[in-house]
Amino acid sequence: MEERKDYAPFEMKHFYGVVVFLLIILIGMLSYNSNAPHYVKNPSESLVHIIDSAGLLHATQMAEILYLEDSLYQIVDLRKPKFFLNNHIEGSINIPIGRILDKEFLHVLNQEEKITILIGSRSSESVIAYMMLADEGYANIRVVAFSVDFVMSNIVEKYAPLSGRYDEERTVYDYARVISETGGSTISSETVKSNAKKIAPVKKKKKAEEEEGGC
Amino acid sequence: MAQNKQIKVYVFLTAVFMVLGIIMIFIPDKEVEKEVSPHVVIKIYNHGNAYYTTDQVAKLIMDGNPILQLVDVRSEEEFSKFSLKNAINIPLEELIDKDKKGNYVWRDYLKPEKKITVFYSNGDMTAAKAWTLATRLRFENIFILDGGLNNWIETIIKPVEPQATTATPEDYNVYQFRKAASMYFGGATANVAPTSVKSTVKKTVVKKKKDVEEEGGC
Amino acid sequence: MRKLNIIFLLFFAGVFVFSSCNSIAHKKEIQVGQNNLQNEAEALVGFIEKSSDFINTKAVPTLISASDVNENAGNYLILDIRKNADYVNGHIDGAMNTPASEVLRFLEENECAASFEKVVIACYSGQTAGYVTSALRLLGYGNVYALKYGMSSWNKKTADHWLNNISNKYAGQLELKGNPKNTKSDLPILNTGEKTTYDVLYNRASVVIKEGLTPAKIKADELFENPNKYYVVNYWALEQYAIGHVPGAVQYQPKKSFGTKTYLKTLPTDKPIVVYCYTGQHAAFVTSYLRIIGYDAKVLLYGANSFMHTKMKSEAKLGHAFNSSIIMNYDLTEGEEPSNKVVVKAAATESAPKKAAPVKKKKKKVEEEGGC
Repeated sequence: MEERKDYAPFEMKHFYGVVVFLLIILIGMLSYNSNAPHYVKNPSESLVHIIDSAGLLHATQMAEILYLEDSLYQIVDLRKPKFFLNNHIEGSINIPIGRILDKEFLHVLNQEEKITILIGSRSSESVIAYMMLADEGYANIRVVAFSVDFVMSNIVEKYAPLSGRYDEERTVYDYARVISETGGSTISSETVKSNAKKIAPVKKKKKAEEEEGGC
Repeated sequence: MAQNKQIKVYVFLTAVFMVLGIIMIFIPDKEVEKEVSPHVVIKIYNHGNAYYTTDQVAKLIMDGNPILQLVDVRSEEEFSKFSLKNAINIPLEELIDKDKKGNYVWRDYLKPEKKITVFYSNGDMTAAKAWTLATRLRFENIFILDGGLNNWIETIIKPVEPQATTATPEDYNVYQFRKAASMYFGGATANVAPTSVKSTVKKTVVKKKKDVEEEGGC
Repeated sequence: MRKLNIIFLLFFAGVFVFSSCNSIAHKKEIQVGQNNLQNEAEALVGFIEKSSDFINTKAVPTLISASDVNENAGNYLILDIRKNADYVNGHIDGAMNTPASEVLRFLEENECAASFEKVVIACYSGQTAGYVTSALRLLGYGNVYALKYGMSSWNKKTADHWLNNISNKYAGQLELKGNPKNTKSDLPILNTGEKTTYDVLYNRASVVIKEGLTPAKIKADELFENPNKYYVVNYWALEQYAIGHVPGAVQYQPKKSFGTKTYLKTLPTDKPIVVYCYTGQHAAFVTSYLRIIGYDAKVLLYGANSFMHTKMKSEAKLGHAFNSSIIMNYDLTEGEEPSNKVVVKAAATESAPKKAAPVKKKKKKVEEEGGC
């Protein structure tokens, strides 16, 4: 009787221990699912964040960063390695967009020392990577609305950051007009005076008399 | 004493199973929740399943293929000025609006049976924002119009004839198709020369002779 | 009871351990642009020199000839910055009228300006246009040009400004001996209070464009009245300088001199500077640059043409004397409207757009006048 008394509590402890251990493993396995979403921003927050154009760098800011070789920034090129090897911004790091969330790049992309600028072959590529990183809680991420090619041609090779497509989301064409021009007379409807007329209201305010000769 | 312990074990096991039950209710709920993980969103994008080219869309429109659904994610004002044929307007701001019951108001448009939904904007950034959110929320068969309306104008409405020296027969096929498309959408006169207005601006600006000519003005 | 506590403890510890390995470590956001620039002028000049060093390149002055504009008018956006009355009297077909001070705002608000191959700024003589163009180029508008000789080169009817301002009045007062440059000193002091270099540039360029040429110009009469009041920059090659120059003028090699490594710092900060060239157009580009970085610079209007025109014509080595062959005979369009040509316009949209409205349908009108 005495022997069993000693033995029984020990067995019970053992039993509890095993059950709890299994339970923990089970819970762990259930909750540890690398594919489970773990956004820090819910969809509405994410939407507000991008509608405000948060984290968007302008072409002139990009120019300044490149010209002054600002070491606070690192440029991450999201294109495929073959494009990167062909032509890239000096000092930029290549992390193809497919691997942007890999653990091995976590310390590169989520850090307090440097601000990361995401840039890709087009603005959609960089903004998708940006949204995923920002919504996951990565800090100090920025995005641009133009491509690597734009940077090469309009900032690196020559200084013209405000010419060409420096913001891909801007209307470059007056669509209705272009269509009508191509349309010729085949779809005619009404006659309108041509060309530049439609370029926005220009103020015709009279300047206080400018001295002649100025120009 | 032993019976007492046995009861204790049963109580304990019951408690464990209850806890497990609660967890089971909790976890699947999260998984079924309407969100896709970031890894999956990136994977979908990276496998090239995110874009429709302007040529593909033009062909679908010209064929009158009912599978295509165009969604203009720009503002209502921009939409009213110009839009693609049969496009509907869902401004990005309203994309994830919910009704009183908590369902997405655009659900019926974005989760259609056997439809291809193509988002477009001026460039492709706004469309990409909408695509990312929609993909995250498990709306399927959503695509981005590659290059947006700016690219639409450049490729479909004002196609550029391939350079004779570098062009492959394929380039000419594409050009022939685009010329036909241009006729269809705008009714282009047959000779849309590359020199014609604004369409070629970007390229010429980059490469042309440029600043040399008029130097020494003084 | 104690056992139960241990169990719960383990339980929560487990949940905590497994859930925490899933989230991204929180990092602090870096605050940017908190430090004010130590020396704005140094930073600004440094930025400009690293970006394009526009004023010291062969590209400057970025002028465009009337014949080029006439041939390619369809590809160019033409901004006519003359007074509205003159614009109404006759302008290049398709040109838009906007005051010089509003040009920057115009380009910012009309997004499609980027879609034109070139943006051409047209004024009376080419000088105000050059002045504005220079500022825009420094800001990064790489496709902006000034119409050479302004509207004076377009048509005889609009050529008055040049024709009325050429003279040989001071050809007898020219000096032949060379004058040394000042010793190098510091750059002017700028106090815009902006946080980044580009913001300083933007601030300065918009001020310069807003002010216009009025504080930045001087006429020959005023200069010759007292040349010693000014530090006069002769922006010619040495060979031409030797033929004769404004008394006291110092020679600076064109397209090379105004870098920090060359002679920029020899310019005085305590005295107005007058820059002159043959026509006043190149000098206008330089003046614009100098004013942006803080110098009190002025352009001598119509350059050497305004005081030694006949001598310029007689000396083989001096080019750029204004003559009637510069004046073209291109078409002018009258009236408020940019163009009188009538084209046929198709419907604004390809098909009636339908707004898929889940809740309510808002009324909208189709605007015929597009954005650009």
